[in-house]
Amino acid sequence: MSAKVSSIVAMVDQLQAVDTTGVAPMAHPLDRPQRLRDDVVTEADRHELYQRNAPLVERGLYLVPKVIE
Amino acid sequence: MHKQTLAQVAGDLRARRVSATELTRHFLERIERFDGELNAFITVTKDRALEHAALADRRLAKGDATPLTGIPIAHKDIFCTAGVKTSCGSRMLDNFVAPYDATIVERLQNAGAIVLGKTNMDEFAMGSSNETSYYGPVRNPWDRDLVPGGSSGGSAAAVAARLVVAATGTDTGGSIRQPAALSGITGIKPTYGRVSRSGMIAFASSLDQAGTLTQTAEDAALLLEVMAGFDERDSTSLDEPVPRYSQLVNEPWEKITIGVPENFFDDGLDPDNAAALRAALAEFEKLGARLKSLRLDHIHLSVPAYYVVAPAEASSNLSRFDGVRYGYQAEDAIKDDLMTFYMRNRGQGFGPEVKRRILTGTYVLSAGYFDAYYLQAQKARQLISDDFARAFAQVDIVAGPTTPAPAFGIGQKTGDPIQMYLNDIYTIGANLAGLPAMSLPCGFVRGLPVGLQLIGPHLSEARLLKAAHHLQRVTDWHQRIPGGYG
Repeated sequence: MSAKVSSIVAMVDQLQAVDTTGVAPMAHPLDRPQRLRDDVVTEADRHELYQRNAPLVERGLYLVPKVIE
Repeated sequence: MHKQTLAQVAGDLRARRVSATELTRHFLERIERFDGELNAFITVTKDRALEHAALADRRLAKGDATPLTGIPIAHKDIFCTAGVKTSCGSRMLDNFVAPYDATIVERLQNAGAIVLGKTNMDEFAMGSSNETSYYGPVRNPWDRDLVPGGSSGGSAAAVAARLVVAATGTDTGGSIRQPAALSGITGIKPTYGRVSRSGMIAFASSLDQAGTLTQTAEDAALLLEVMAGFDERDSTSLDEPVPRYSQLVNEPWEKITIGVPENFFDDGLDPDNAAALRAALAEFEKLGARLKSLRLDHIHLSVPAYYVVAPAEASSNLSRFDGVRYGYQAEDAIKDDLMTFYMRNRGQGFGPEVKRRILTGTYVLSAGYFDAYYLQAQKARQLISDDFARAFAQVDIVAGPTTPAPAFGIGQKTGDPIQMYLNDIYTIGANLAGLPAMSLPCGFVRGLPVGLQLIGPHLSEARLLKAAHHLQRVTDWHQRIPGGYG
């Protein structure tokens, strides 16, 4: 795994040799701003449906290992 | 009936020469007969397809059908389909049943298309051969020892073997065009933002775009005019009117200038592929197109820039897969400490190529490396985009190879990720610049299909599809069916 990741990093290192003086990094392929919408709730509460995909749920809560001693 | 194009099948359905139910049964039988040897499908939704076919037949009888009503299609398993397993080719989502439909799934269903199943793909769309799938490689119908291309390899193989009339795909660095080329079919990646990404599992959000895999450009036009269009659920969706592509492709040919980047025809391209491409370009000339040589000076930076930007975005997007809310959770992981819990879920849920890209992406975004890698890659991306802009000031379309060579063997490139990545050397540029691009069959080398790539300026899908359609009216490469599937 590490040898292959190193070979990928070595390949992308080609970029270091490129003169990009004065070039602005691309922010969006079509040079458009991100659209904004009103800050209002648009989704209904569907947690029962969504939690059917959860490996472990109890009383509507997702279970994770104990994190506070 | 499987030898017909989508446009022809649509005509037969509306003339009641065939019913949606008959068609659906026919294609389901073909999947049952051939998919054991191709592995193009992860899930076949037989009962649901027959129910929808019955509904389509009622719509056709009432006369409120669209051109897609009753057409059997398949979705790449990257698109969420409500109530149907949506795996993204990964063990991580092997148990995931999508709670809602992707926007394009909804739009195609509303138009009456019949979904026969979900197609195999490289894990999380990361691959160019369909070999990284948790569900095993897809085989190329032209030669089952070869790959069909990827990541939309299942969709490509299913259309090439005529197991469905058409299929959806996604293209982040060539994942529609490259498998279309290696499988002998037509594939289009529209302009970034043209088709909604809502409900399409994210890989690299600034590059991902949904599109189609079909026999012909006219078929692509029929699908795309339904799939494309503004969607408020996708923050990068373009709010632009959708042209009637299927009408526009049939309008008379206009004299266009086609730019041919000479550095696409250098040593990296198989000489036999080059000859097939030159012959196809000569066909365009016969139609009245003018060819103009040009250079894309920074295109050699596209592979390294892509392998910074795409893994960076993937490492962020894939952090959501933690095995808590959905997806794979290792056995008894809940009894571990939190760090071990995450490590086991993600360590066992993801395959090696996905892990390589998450590691690469995390590395290039890390403190101290961000400017040198990510910011530099975004600058290189701008240089590549500027090259295309200069080209489109002189020409209407850029044409060249889709892939360096015909399909390669299963297992041939899995040992060396860089060799695999170089397969997308001609396709990645369009993703980095957000441009529409397509691949169409343009000949055969050693019995295997070759793809011609057409790239256009932003929102020029109609121009690309029209040029391809006019070429397909005077050539028959797209009508060839792999042996044994006719």
